[in-house]
Amino acid sequence: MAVSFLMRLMWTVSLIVLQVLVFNHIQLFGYATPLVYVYVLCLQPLDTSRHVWLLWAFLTGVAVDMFAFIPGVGAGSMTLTAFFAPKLLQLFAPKDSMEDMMPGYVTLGGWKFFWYVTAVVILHHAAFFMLEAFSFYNLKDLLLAWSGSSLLTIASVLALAALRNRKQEYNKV
Amino acid sequence: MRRLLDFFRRYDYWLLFILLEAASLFMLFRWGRYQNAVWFTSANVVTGRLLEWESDVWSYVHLGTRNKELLERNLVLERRVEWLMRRLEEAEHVPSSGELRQEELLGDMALVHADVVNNSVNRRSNYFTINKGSDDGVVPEMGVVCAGGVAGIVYQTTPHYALVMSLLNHNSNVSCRLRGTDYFGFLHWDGVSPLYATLGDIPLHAKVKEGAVVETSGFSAVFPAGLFVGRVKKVEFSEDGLSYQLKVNLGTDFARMRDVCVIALPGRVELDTLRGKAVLEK
Repeated sequence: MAVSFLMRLMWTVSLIVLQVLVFNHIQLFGYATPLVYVYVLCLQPLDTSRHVWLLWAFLTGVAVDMFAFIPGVGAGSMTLTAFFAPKLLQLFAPKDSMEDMMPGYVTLGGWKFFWYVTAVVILHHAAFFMLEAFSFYNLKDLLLAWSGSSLLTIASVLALAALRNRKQEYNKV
Repeated sequence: MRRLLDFFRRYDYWLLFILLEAASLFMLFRWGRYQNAVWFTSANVVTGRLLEWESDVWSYVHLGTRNKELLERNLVLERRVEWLMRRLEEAEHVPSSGELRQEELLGDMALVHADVVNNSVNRRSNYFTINKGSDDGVVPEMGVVCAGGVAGIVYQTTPHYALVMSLLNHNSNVSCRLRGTDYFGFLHWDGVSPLYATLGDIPLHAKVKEGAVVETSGFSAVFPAGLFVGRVKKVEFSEDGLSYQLKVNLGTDFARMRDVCVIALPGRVELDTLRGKAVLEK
C-alpha cells in the first residue's frame, strides 16, 4: 500500500515536471497543448475513496497552475474530472476485477482503457478550456483548443501508459 | 435527523467536491487576472527555482544561435565604428591649399566619389580598384584624383567596379606642365619608387627650379588643366641631352590612398570625335 502510494506520488510529481518543462511548450498550430498530467487520474485504483480522488486531483491541478500562471483553471477542471472518474472507471472495469485494480491496458483491456482515457481527457479538457475561456478565447478558438489538445493528450497518455505497462512487464520478469 | 446525518455521511464527498471547486474558482477570480499574486507565481521559491533551471537549460540549448547573432551584431558594429572613424577623420581634416585649389578646379565637373578597394604599389604595372563602375557613370579613360593630386586613369569598368591604371604604371603617360611656365612634358614612372615619377621632354631653355609645381596640362580629355601632380625634386638631363628630365615627387601617396574622385569632363566626347577624325584624315 505504502509502496504503491509512493509510486503514485512519484508519478504525479514526474508528470507535473514533465508538463511544466516539456508539454507546456508544445503549441501545435497555436492551439493544441497536451495536458499529460491528466494521467494521474489513471493511477488511482478502483477502490480509492472519493475524497482521495478529489484531493489528489485538486493538488495536482494547483501544482500545474502555479507554473502556468493560470491559478484555479487546472485545479477546478481536475477536481471536476476526479468527481466523475470513479463512476467512469466502474463503467469500464470488468465485473470480476480486483478491488485495487489500476486502469491500464492489461486490467481493462486495450479498447476499454482507450475509451476510459478518452472520456476522462475530453471531460477534463472541456472543463479546463471553458474555465480558461472565461477570460481569454472565443468559441471557435475554444473548440479548436479543446479538440486539438484532447487528441494530443489522449495520444500522450496512451503512450505513457504503454511505457509504464512495458516497464511493469519487465519488472515481473 | 439520523437519515439526514446518514445522507451527509454518504455524500460528504459532494461537500469536498464543492469546497475544492469553490477554492479553484476563488483562485481563478481572485488571482487569475493579477500578475501580482506573488506567492503564487514566479516569486514562489520552488516555482522560481524550477523555472530558473528551465531557462538555464533553454539558454544553453540556444547558445549556438545566440553566438551567431552576436557575431553578426559585432560585425555590424565594427563596420559602423570604421565608418564613424572615417567620418571623424574627414571632419577633423583641414584641407591644404592644394586641395582647395583642386576643389576649385573640379567644382563644376561631374565627380564620382569612390573608395579604393584594392591597391598595389610594388609591381611594375600597378592598378587599383575602386567601388564605382559603369552603373555610376564611370567609363574607361576617365581621370581619377585623390586629395593629394592626380592618381590614375580608369582602365576597365564593370557595373559596380572600375580598374584604374595608377600613375605608378610604366604604361601610364600623363601630359603635365610646370605651373606658371606652360612648358609641358609627359609623366612616366620608372618602376622604382612609388614616391617619384619622371617628367620628360621639358625643353632645355625652360627655366626649371627644384620645388616647382607640376600640374596637368589639360591637353588630354582625361584631366582638366591645373591639377596638382607633384613637385620637382631634381633636375636632370635626358639621355640624349636634348631635354630635361625632372624627378617629380608625387603628391599622391599611393600606398595609403583611400578616397578618390573620378572626373567626368564635359568636353570629352567632342574631343574624342575630333581626335578620331584627325586619325581618319591621316
